[in-house]
Amino acid sequence: MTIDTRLLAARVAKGDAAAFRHLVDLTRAPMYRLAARLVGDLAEAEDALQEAYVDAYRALAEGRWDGRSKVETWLYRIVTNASLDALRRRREIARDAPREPRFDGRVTAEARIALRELDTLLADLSPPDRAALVLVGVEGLSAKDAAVALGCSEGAVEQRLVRARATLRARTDAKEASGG
Amino acid sequence: MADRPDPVNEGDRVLAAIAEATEGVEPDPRLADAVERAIGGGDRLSLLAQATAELEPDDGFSAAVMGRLGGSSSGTISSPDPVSTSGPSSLDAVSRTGPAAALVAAFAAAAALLLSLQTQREVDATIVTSVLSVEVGE
Repeated sequence: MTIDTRLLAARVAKGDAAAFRHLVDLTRAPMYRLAARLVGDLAEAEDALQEAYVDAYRALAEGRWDGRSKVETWLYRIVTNASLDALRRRREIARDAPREPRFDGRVTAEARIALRELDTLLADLSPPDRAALVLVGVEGLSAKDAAVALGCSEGAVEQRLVRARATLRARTDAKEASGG
Repeated sequence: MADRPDPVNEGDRVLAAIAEATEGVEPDPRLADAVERAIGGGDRLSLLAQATAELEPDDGFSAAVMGRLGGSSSGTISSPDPVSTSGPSSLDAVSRTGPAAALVAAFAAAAALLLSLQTQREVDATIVTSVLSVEVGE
């Protein structure tokens, strides 16, 4: 059965908290994946995603969702923003000892290792460049859709992608030159 | 006159020789690395994307989100505070303007009473005047 997320959003706007729970249940998997890939850490991703859902709820309850865009696209943007904030915070405040995620019961060992590798691979990128590369290169979005999620122009996404790939190339070259 | 080689057969022979000479050509193992570098780690990203495709939180996550909405600690289920989460209702306006409205209503009632008493006195005076006029006339 297909559930119309727009209807759920409309019910939330009228104060129906149960409808929001339904919306979270329906969207949590792709949004969790997105946040985890963007920040590269499950515990941080969980925090960012919870913040994103709280923001989304308030926006719906206060009538700040225009109803024109798809709910999933709108959520995608909120989660991307929350994840970018988490990445910026990480740059400003050195990470303490890694925290344990709390809702990772279904995450396989392979996915954990891959996520750690992804985080290491993208560690040198600035948050905006990293987000562009993850949205296009990992999530498989077009530059146009990535621009919507990032709230910037398609040209800006292309620029970020070029910069991100150049950084990755330079890093690989340096590694090879040093014999790593 | 010496026989000239058939150009078609000669061409085939050359191609066959080239094919034989290049049969063992294999790419250097570093080619894959070079391609990956050229595309900026694209292949590696694809592999990592596949490996993280099944990421999903467990059921406790939704409950934790709802717990945060309700102002309680994460991991517990509680309904959001209906006052803080629902939009402003018309009753809110009533409760906010109630005292002022009651004061205005009290003044209005008092004024209406005074006006009615005043009017009643005027009416009485008019009646008395009319009665006196009739009596005088008789």
